[in-house]
Amino acid sequence: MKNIFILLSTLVLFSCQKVIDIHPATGDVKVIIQAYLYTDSVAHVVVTKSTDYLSTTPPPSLSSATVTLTDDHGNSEVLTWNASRQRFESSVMKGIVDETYTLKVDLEGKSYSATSTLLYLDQVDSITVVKEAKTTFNDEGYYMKLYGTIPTNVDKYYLFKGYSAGKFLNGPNDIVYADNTMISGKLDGIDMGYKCDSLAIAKLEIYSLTLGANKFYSSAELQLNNDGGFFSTPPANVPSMFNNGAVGLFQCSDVQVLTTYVDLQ
Amino acid sequence: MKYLICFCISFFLAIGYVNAQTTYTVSGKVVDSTGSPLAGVIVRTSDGAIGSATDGDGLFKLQVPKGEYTIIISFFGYKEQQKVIQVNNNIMLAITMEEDLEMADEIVITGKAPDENVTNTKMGATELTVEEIKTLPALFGEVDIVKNIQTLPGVQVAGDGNTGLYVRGGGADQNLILVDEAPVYNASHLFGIFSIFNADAVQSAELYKAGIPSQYGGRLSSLLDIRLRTGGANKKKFSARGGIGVIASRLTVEGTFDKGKGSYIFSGRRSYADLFLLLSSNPETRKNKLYFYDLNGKMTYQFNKNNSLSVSSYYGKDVFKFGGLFGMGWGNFTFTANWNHIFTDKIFLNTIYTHSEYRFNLGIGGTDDPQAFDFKTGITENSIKQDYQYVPNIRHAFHFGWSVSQREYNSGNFVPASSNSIFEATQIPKYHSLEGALFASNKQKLSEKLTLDYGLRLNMFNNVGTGTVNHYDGHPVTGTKIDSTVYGQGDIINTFWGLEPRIAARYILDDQASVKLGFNRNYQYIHQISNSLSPVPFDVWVPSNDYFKPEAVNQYSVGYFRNLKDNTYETSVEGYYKTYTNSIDYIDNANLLLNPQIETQVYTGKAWSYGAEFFLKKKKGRLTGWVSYTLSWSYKKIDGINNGEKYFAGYDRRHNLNVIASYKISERVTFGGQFVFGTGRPMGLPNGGYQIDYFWLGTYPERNSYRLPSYHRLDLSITIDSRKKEGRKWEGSWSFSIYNVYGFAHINPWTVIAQTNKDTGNKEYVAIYFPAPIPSVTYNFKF
Repeated sequence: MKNIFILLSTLVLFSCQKVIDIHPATGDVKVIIQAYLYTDSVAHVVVTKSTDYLSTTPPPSLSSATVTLTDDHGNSEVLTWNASRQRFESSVMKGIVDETYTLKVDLEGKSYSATSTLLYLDQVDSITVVKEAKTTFNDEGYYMKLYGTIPTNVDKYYLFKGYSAGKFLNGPNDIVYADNTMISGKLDGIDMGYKCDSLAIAKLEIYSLTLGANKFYSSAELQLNNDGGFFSTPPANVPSMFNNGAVGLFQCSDVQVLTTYVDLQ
Repeated sequence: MKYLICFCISFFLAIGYVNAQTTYTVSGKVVDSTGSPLAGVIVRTSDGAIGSATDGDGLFKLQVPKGEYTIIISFFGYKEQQKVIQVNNNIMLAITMEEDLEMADEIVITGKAPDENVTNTKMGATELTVEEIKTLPALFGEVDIVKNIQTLPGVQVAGDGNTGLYVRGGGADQNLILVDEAPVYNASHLFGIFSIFNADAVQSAELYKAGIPSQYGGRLSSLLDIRLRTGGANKKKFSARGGIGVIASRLTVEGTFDKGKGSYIFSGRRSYADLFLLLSSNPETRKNKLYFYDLNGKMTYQFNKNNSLSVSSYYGKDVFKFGGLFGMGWGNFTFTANWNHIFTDKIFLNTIYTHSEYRFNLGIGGTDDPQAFDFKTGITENSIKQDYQYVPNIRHAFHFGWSVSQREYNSGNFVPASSNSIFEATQIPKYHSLEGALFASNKQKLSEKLTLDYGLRLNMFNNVGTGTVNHYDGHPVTGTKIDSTVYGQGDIINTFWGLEPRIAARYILDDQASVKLGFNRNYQYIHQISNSLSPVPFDVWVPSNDYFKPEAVNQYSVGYFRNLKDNTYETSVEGYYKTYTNSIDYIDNANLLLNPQIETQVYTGKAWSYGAEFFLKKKKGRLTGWVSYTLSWSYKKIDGINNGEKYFAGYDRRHNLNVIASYKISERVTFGGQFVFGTGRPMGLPNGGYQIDYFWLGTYPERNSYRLPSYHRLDLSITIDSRKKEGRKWEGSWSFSIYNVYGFAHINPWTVIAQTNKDTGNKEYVAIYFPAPIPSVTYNFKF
């Protein structure tokens, strides 16, 4: 459906686009938290603050925060600052399927927290890369296809990231996410939208998401691909998974990595 | 309910009895030279004290005291007639109008007496004539009624080139658009660039912003009453007209049969941008399609002096296809059958059946594509209405009757379109409803200066099965679904009803000025699920239910009307204040497509709008045109939206100015111009940014807190008619126009996007706007 809005937004044959010089009044500075915890991996957390929308430099990571990870068995760890990676990391606690975690960030006298569960990811079979001719929407090239079966008896949410020859394929406005509603369960070569290099390794990372994380990503995708509300849903703030006014994502995911070598020329 | 109608009629008659005096009925029928009835013909006494306009069957009725009168019959495009009559009993006149070949006869938007804007009780209605439309600049050369209506005071537009109507702070789904009484659920072609109304097929259009007659209901903000032309409105048994433009062409044929008792008209239009794509060397490009077409037809037959029947229909479609992978189509079909019966010289009856369908379909993917699917939505309505008119004497004109409508709403049918599809077929539950109404009104002349027009509409709405109602522990947005109730076919799920008073008063100050007051309440029981400013083809409609409560509006209006220099100039100032209950708005990041729990995306609350409208119109002379200016505010305040604080509606514009002019340089050459200025619309734009993973997001302040730059543009046109020659059987004209003349130096963004440039990675604000200037040329002909 996203494509429809993009087509409408550009009014196909009739519209023009132009970068304009406007500067809306800067809003309140918000605490931004992005936290990730994957199966069998340590947690890593980046704490920043929002900045001007047109800022050309990323806001600095804040090392002054205190970040605490707790599971629902009472285990807890204060994450340590990794200066070289500009983020907080756990050293002991790693992601475990079906565990529920709470992340707390204390910064400048305020406390922000989020809770998320690391959900099991049903493994799919494989990816392939096939050569396709030019179409209205795609150039000629090598495109990644996904095969396998996913459950349909319970709601499931997924995030995808594609790579080719070590290069990240998601563009700055491309969030590839899915759920299993209206799906038969059999994935018989669905097009992931990733154009790959030939004679190179193609890789697909699949992440399980909670409903909350899915809402974050789907809302972010709406915001990144909106037309200001003329035809599409009006852009709006992405729903935060953290409380107390912080904006952020606490993504706990089970992960599957699929690779294939593209031997086509 | 029968008793209520009887009571209403008795009450009105009682009032009439008190005021009655010895009068006689002068009634009759006005036809053209072929015998086809003419609607909107003004029939009045020479002093203008008594007058009326013919209805859709050419019928009129005057109540006059005993005496001698000069009756004047006038209609645009026809020669004015005068008849001297001696009234000492009831008189029936048969009037045949002769076409005035010096005048155009195409579109007439409302037929009114020269001073009717002052003397009638209507508020918020404006008269436009064919000449004013025909010679005005038109986008891509397509004369468009809706675009002209957008220049009237109180009407806002969504954006450049868009046909959406926002009337006095109302939403785009709050306009009842009727084509020969049949409702139209999506009145736009090409995503709103054109309306569906082919100018060659339309006889009249009237917009009511307030005081909607009680025989109409179901929408909050306006009635756009469009009447298709009756064929044979000239001296020939057969005639044709058409036009060839840069984007579409038109052809209309019409005539009469059975010695003028019957008439027909068929009109068609098709755009042909896609035909040029066939010239492309790229085979993929040649597969693309982008066009629309519409067909109109109408037939009438006069069985005898008391019975006539007209049937009319509209069918139109947009087709939008990219290669073999993406196809989209949508369109309307309407049908109307109207039987007119005259009981006596005082009572008329129109019995009207209408059918209306709107369909949208989308297909994505090839036949072996695992992601291929088809998606369909739509709405179907069948209605019957009986509308009686009773004119007992000079002081009263009654309307009363009933109507019932049955609707089916298809909110989404999703089916896989390949054998290896990953999808499963899904049908979002269909809704069904029945809506009925009883209505009665009376235009009562209390004195020479004071006239009241009052009416009442009693509506009842049933949301009926089959259907499923979900239940939540709390509000659907914040709560959790706990269970649901399934209703069988015909089961009543919800019942709503409401009383809609419609009251207007006019007081004549002098022979050129009047003041008017009005109040009306309207209910709306169907809601378009649209979260965008410009309705898109796949927006669906849902009936009122447990969660979409009936929307209602109360409107208070006041106006001062003055004409100058023998009605050469019309001026008016109108003010209005409207309050809405159960106004709908959507949560942030709402998911409205294929959502079986659509109630989880919606909050309802209150809204209000107010404003002042100024109108100056010059109707005679070489220079004609109008200036309209609207100063208005539109707010919403809905718990759950914008932290419960009030915010501007997405179509709020503070100032809106239109200057329209047509100057006849010579008998053959007319110059047209249009200048438009409007405050930019409010929208959301981020005022901060942050990084999450690899993408950059924005932080948004209050809803609709950023305002686009002001909008302004100038359009120009020139129309050159062919030389008139003795014996020549055809006429032609060339129209050249330029839309947004200085658009190369000034852009009017209809939206601004905040985005990360995918090539450079820079964050930027990007304006999306209509290209300009747009020149066009159209050749029109008739024979």
